[in-house]
Amino acid sequence: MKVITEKNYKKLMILPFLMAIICLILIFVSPKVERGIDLKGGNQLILRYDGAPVDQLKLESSLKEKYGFQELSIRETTGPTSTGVIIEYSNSPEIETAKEERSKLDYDNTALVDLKTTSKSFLAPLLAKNYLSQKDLDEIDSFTSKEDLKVYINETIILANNNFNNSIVNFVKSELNLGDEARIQTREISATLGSDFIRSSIKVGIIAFVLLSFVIFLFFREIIPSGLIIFAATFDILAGLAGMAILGLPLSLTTIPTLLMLVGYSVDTDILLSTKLLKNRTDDVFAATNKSMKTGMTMTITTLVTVAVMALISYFMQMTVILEIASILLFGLIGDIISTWFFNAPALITYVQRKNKNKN
Amino acid sequence: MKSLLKKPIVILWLLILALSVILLLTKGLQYGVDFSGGTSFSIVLENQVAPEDMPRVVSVINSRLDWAGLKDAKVTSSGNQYITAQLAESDPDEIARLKNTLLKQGKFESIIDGDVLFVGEDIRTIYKDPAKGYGIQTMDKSGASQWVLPFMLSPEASRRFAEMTFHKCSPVGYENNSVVYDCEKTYFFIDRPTDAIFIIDNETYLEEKQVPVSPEVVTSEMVSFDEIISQINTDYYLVSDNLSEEQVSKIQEDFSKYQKAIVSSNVPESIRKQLTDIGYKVVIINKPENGYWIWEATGLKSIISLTEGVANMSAPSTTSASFEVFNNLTITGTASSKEEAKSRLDELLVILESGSLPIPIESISTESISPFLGKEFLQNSLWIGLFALLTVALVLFIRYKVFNLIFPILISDFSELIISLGFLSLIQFRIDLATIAGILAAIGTGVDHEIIITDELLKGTKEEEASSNNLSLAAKVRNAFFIIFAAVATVFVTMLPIIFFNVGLSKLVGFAITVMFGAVLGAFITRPAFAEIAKFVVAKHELKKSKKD
Repeated sequence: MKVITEKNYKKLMILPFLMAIICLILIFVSPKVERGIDLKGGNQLILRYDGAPVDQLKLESSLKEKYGFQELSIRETTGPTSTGVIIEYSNSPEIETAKEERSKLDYDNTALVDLKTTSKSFLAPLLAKNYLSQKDLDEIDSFTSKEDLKVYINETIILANNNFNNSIVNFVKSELNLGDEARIQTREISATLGSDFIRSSIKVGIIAFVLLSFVIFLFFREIIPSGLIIFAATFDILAGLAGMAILGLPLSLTTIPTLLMLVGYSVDTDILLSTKLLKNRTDDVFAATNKSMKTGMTMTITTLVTVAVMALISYFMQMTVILEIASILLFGLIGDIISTWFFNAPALITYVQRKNKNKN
Repeated sequence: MKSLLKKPIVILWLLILALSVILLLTKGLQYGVDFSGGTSFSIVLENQVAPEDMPRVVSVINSRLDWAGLKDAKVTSSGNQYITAQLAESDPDEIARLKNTLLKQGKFESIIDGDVLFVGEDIRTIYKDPAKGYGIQTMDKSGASQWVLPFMLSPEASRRFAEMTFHKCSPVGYENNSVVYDCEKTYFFIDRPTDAIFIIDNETYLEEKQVPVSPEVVTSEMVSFDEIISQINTDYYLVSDNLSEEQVSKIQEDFSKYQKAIVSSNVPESIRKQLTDIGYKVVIINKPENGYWIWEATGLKSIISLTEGVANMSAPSTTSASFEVFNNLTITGTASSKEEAKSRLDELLVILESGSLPIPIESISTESISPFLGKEFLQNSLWIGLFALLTVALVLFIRYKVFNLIFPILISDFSELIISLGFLSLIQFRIDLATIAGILAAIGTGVDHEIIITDELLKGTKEEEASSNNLSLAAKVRNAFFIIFAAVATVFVTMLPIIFFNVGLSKLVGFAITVMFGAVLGAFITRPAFAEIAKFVVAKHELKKSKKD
């Protein structure tokens, strides 16, 4: 098998460079990888039931009309076995306004009476929406300390938010004529938790990359081959991210581990290639490359086919999470073939040839 | 085959595999919210807490859930600012209620004869300083321990306390030249339901006519049901199948004073409906598994006896010169072991502090999955895993066409799955979808490495590659293992920061743990064992081929 030859190897490198540019455009320009609710905060309601698929437009307009959302997305995940709908929505505008007003309260320099009047006035819209009861508002009068009032106001807003979420669950259920048989999954991620996740993810990502580079260098003790392996891993992650952009999958606590999985699969083939070329004593550099390519392609294709089967089954079973993981891996693994054999291999060949020339 | 079973690595591998099977059969697996259904609360605190304060925050959160009637919540902390609570409940209304109670601190009251002695706000300081007596002392060799909790009341509360407890002991005997007193009890409540009437079925009432003063101590003094309920200052009704006419009219009358009706779970539906019709909000309280209904229903947390010193038994009247007002009080108790004393002390501390947190809660995120969906997820994951394994087998068969070589690969992968699950069972980890993804990822790299070993071993068995034919099988395996170790070490350190910098990414921890465990397991046990088996198979295969030739 002679795929990579002396004639073609330098030209091969055009493909990965083009691909990298395309991936970057897909990720950052259009359609872009968005942050999921895990990372930006927000609410998600997943309903699964047996029955006819939902009329998305109708549901969207009735939800918007009733709640006045700024952001609302409805996705259908209907498969052969059951029907499902994923609804993602921003917080209630009334509650957001109340939160803003609350943060403006100056507890230290305002009289208790005034604090009470102000908070009652900004909580009033929540009463109108039935997120709070008259009793909740009346209780404000009973407080004698500012500190207690502050705690109570905070609690009341969270209570309103609970009622708002419950009201949506019930509204959607009644719109779809569903009773208790509907299987429900709800998530409510606070904006702070979301932004903390991003900060932690970036921190963890940077440290992981430093450690990874260090370990690879420790094994190969040569800067250029080590750097190539790291470049190849980065390329695979870009391919996975590009896949996410194409499929409209957001960056989330499901997709981040998937991208990390790609690092694992990526280094397997690249380390194989580097070991074979750098420790090679007998074969010429092209023969060694093609030999390791046979092994490497077996590895990647086995994983690729398996992942494709997983994607297919999880689509039929409506296992959204596994479907997401498998589809991202598909893109990443195709990226791995390109990064290993079209980028790392030709670059390494050039490196080894130069090294040998210098020796002679 | 026998020679294979003598190899230490193969023996070790089989031993670990057997151990995992035993663990799985005896201990079983624990499922997270993804698979069991339920709700997970992610709590963010307003600021970071000092690491030594974190256990207290966790225990406060636990207590708050406990007081809301939730006994089986799993509360864990992550980093200095995040707490996760996992519970089995997934009903939206119930979740909203729990979320609300999580945010609130309780209302602590100490009651004597149905009157408030002091409340949470009356407590100025709780001394957590051993110099002030706080802590635990072992009393004898059996491990029996005494715990002491000193605290200070505000001046007004101290005065009230002294007056209300004055002479609340009565002499019952004479021992060692001094009078022995029997003193009255004070009852510690959290959120005493003063706005409710109680409806109790006869059965529950008879069972709990007398309950122990400290339910966790076996030989405890008893206190009556009536005594406890009289601390609430409310009306209570004993019922069997129906309410009597007299009861109905009294209950109707009560409605002007009380809004809620606390009922025991055996009270028939018809009576509950009657109560709802009158206008009561009916609250059903179940008897806790290891406890008493009356404690649960009234919010009673602890019963503490007065001492003759505190009751000023030596002073003739409250106006006499020897009448003392104590600002500083201590609660002491004994327990059969040091650990138990510690847990009693911690519990009482949380109660006296009304379950207040050192740092307020900034936000609570929830994730809730109905149990049906969870079960579906688990079954489907198993199916997907199985199909994945079959696909691997099929692809490898097409590639190598040597059936004997595919078999070891499959066995090795399957053993990795079992051992990983066994490990999760051992560390009592709650499996979620991310954990499963981690196992799949580890097995995926496993397949990659087994392909490397196989190709390395088969190299040179074909004429075209005769140049490397002179390498022994052992040397070939060594080549493969350089690649494997490099790859495994890389993956290992990539996951390390997720565990090491425990920064609220608790959802990724399961993924990282399984990938790292899989990496180590693969590098040192399963892949070396596979290499031995593969060497054996290849040697046989070559022998057959050379015989044919």
